[in-house]
Amino acid sequence: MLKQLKLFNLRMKFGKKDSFSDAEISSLAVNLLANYRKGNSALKSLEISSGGDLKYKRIAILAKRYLLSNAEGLEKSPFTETNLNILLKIIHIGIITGTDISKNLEDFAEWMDAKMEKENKIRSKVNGMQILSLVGIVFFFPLFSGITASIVRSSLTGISAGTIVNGLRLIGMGYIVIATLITNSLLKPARTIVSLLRDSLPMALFGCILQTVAYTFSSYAI
Amino acid sequence: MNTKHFFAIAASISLALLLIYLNKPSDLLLSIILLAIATISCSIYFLCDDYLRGIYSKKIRESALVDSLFQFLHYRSKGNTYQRSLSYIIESSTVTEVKTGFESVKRQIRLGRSLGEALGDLFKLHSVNSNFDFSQDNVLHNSLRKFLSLYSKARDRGSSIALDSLQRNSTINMFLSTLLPSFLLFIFVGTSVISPSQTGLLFISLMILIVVPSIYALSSTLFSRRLIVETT
Repeated sequence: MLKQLKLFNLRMKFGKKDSFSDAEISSLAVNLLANYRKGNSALKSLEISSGGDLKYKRIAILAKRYLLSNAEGLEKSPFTETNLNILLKIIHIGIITGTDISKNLEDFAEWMDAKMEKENKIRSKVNGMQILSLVGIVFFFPLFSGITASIVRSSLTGISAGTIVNGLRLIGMGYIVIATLITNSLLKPARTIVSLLRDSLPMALFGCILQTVAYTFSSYAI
Repeated sequence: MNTKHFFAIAASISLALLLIYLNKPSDLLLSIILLAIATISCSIYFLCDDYLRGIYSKKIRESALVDSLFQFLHYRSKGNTYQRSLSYIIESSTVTEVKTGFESVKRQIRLGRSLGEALGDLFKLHSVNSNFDFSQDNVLHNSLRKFLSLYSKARDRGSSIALDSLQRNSTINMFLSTLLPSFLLFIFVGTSVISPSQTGLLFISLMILIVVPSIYALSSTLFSRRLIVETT
């Protein structure tokens, strides 16, 4: 009962949205391998590897429950991370067959390191490119738009200047929202609209605020 | 049709309404043209999105298939039987299509078909190019190894090609997303100074809100396609 309460507390503390990065999984695999080579069993090494960190402890507790519940397949696995499931599968197979899994764990850790290195290299370049586009959309476009507005205000007089500047402001804001959404959405095809909006709206709002500032200054620059 | 599509429809209709609102003289023909262009731009976005989703899911399947083959070889080298190795990879695979495919392979072997033929069919189904020799099991094992090493080399080469093309694509993206609309605004200033009227505003809004985003979406799609095909 006490154990279940502890589990419940841990779940309440971290919630279901708690996720584990590749680096955390890789470090867990390395620790697991070190403890396994000392002669501990797979489950015992998992417990020792979790150490005092509550996040790793949660992995250990949920993994132990999963491994001991005779779960068939990965559908009942408590984790959404594929790599963590593969690590659990290695331990699972080690428990079922009773074979030595140190080589498998070593392969897994090496594979994770190589994968992380390659992915980080590509991700950093793609993110750099995306940030370059976003900076252009939310900073340079409002800047040019503000300069345009100031030229319109200084060259035209009367009602038409005000209408044109207001129209330009609306067009600019619409464009900033559309362009940030396109930049975010087409690079990540597997994502849902909610996560895309969550990612792109702060940048779009920032761009709209900058544009408003630029237009306000343009009215004083005449 | 998913939520992204509904969002795109809503965005295009609101854009068209905004443009019609800006076009205060009630010109029915112009309004219809604007709505048509908004619908076309929305369709372009649909096509881009569906195209990329298709490519992405295909690459994920292909990648999962090859990863499963790696595991298969690993379990075989540990001395497990074909059936047992197949059972392990069916359990560990997280992609449903690959799981079903290997279950079918296992069933076919049980019915008396050779492993090479069954695997060949599975590869054909997922349209992965492979030149296996399906005659004998030991030759098949070697050709599987050869295929996997060639596949990983091709993937590394592809990712280096994608990394090279990133710089060029970032320049094009910067031009399409920032410089082109800004130059359009400057052109608009020139035309409005010559003849101050609201038709110019309508034209510029049409260009910046519909035409430029469509071109930008198309170019981003081509770039993302290359990135997915070469690196995933």
